[in-house]
Amino acid sequence: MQDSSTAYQALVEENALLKQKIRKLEKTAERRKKTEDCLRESEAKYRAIIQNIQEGYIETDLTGRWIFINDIIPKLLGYSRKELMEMPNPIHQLQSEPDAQKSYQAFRAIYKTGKPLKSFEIELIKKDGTTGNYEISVSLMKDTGGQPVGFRCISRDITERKMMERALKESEKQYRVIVENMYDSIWTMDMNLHFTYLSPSEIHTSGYTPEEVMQFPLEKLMTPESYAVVKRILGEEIEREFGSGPVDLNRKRILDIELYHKNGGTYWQETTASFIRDENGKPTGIVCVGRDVTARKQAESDLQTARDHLLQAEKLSAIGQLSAGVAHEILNPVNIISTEIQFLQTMENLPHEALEELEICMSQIDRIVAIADGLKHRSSIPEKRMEMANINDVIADIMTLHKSQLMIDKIETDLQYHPDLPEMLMDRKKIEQVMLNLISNARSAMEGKEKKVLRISTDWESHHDHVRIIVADTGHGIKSEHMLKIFSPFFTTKEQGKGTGLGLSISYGIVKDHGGKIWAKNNKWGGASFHIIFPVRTSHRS
Amino acid sequence: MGGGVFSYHFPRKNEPQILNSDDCRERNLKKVLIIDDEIFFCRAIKKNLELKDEFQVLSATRGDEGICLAKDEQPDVILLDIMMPGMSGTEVTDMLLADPVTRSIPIIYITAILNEDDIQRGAGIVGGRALIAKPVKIDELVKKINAVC
Repeated sequence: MQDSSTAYQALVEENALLKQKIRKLEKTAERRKKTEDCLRESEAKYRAIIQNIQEGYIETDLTGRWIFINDIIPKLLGYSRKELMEMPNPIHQLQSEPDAQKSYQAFRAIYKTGKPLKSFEIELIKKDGTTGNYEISVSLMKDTGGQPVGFRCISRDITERKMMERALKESEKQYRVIVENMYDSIWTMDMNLHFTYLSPSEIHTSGYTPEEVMQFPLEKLMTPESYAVVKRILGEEIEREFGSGPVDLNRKRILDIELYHKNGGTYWQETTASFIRDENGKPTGIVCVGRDVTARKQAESDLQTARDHLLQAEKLSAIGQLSAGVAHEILNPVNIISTEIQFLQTMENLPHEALEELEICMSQIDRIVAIADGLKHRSSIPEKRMEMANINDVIADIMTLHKSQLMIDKIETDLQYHPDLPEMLMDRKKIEQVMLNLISNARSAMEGKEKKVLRISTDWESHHDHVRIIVADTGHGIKSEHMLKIFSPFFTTKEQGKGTGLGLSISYGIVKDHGGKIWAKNNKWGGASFHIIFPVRTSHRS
Repeated sequence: MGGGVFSYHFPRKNEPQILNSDDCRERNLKKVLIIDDEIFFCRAIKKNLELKDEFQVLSATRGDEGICLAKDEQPDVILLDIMMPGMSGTEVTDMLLADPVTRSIPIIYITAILNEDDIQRGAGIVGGRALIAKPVKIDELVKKINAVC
């Protein structure tokens, strides 16, 4: 009995143990189920996330074969999920060969280093042959033992952004091509007038590269007069901008400025300037577009010179006619006085003193006659003795005659003859007269100067068929207020009795009669230069 | 009584001072006609030339008057001003050349229009005739008169 009770006891205990085990197992199963539920839930959640994100998600094995993709991927590429999952090597199938090589390298680097790759841009070929651009982030996928088993990729479609970028680049390129190839120059400055940009066309206009120009302060780039204009206009605009009145944000100012060229000369630019503004309309800089208008300025200046010449010519022509009449009227009474004096001189027993006085009278009559002659030559006497001659020869003759005089005056001469000057039809005597007048003026202008140099040069401007003569001195120069008057009759700066004021006016007439032009300007190195150009004429008809 | 009296005798235009051609020839004088609107110039020329005892000088202050005198008096030479009021020197020349009586009388122009330089260069407006510029140098004038007659 004891045995059976012991056995029973053992069974009970065993039963209890089993129950306990079963409970334990049940608990474990319950826990597992819970865990599995959690996992399932979690997995569903992540799957939902992965499926629903806008980014594509791909998992690959180490050979590159896709083992998992989310639903976006087939939509992006136009292939079915099945087609994609069956591709043995999607990298090569979906990319051009060079791109595939690049991708391969990238994946290899990730595998080697274990470092994830962010923002790698790839281009994939869709099923319909079009391409899409994607930015992908790739990381290494490892098993629980830490061994690499594949890659995880998240891809973002950037086709649209790429298209915009391309369009922007294209547009930027287009503007750049326009800006860099135009002859107008564009520059921008900050409000302190420091350059912030200069278009490459600067090299065409100023001869400087934009980099060179940027090193100069603005005022060194232009003539002081132009800089003054720029400062004045900027001042006006800033006052207007920050003043109390209404402001037109789109206003611009157009100004003509004279800039220095690298070759030492200057050129004119018509510059349109306006403010660059921030989003609040506040000026942050200045943008200028400049166009070379040197040719226009030159034409304007030529026109003005032509007008001045015309005016001068008309004035002189009128004065010429008048003065010829005056000369005639003066000469008639002078003629009578002269004839009477000659009669007196023949009288016998005239005291010696009286004869001397009569001689003085005769010499003064000669002076009057010289002045009257000067006046007469202002009117054009049609009789000219025209001949073919070389200006160089005319000048050489004159210089030979005046060599000693110039030496006495301690004037150095510098003669620069153009070797191939053509002969031209001229009234040689008159051209000689012009040269004499100019030399005589140069001599007077250099009186009292330490260094006296008379420079005469001739040049043949064959493209214009012009002969140019320049008579330059190192004298006192011509005062600007005299510049317009020097060719007017009776204008002289010489002291009384030393000049009639007719020399240049006569020269002007002679040069004009030869179809030429004469003008004067002051030299940069001091003194003045007279420029004469003659058209090379070879026949009377012209 | 102090002081003095100056008197001046103005010659009348047709004063019978003119010697006829025969008288001139007899005395070996050249008869010169000057036509110039400046009466004092005519007088001064007359005084200067007649002083030399080689010339007899007649004068006219107008072109038409000069032409009449030229016809009547047949001078050996005519000194002719170019720029005169009324009939100009060149018009006078045309009239003289048109008349057989006066056609062959040599003419010397006296002018204030051209100067000695212009004349030396043979300014062509007077068809190669002798020219003298004002103010007249008497010696030059005598040379030119003697050259043409």
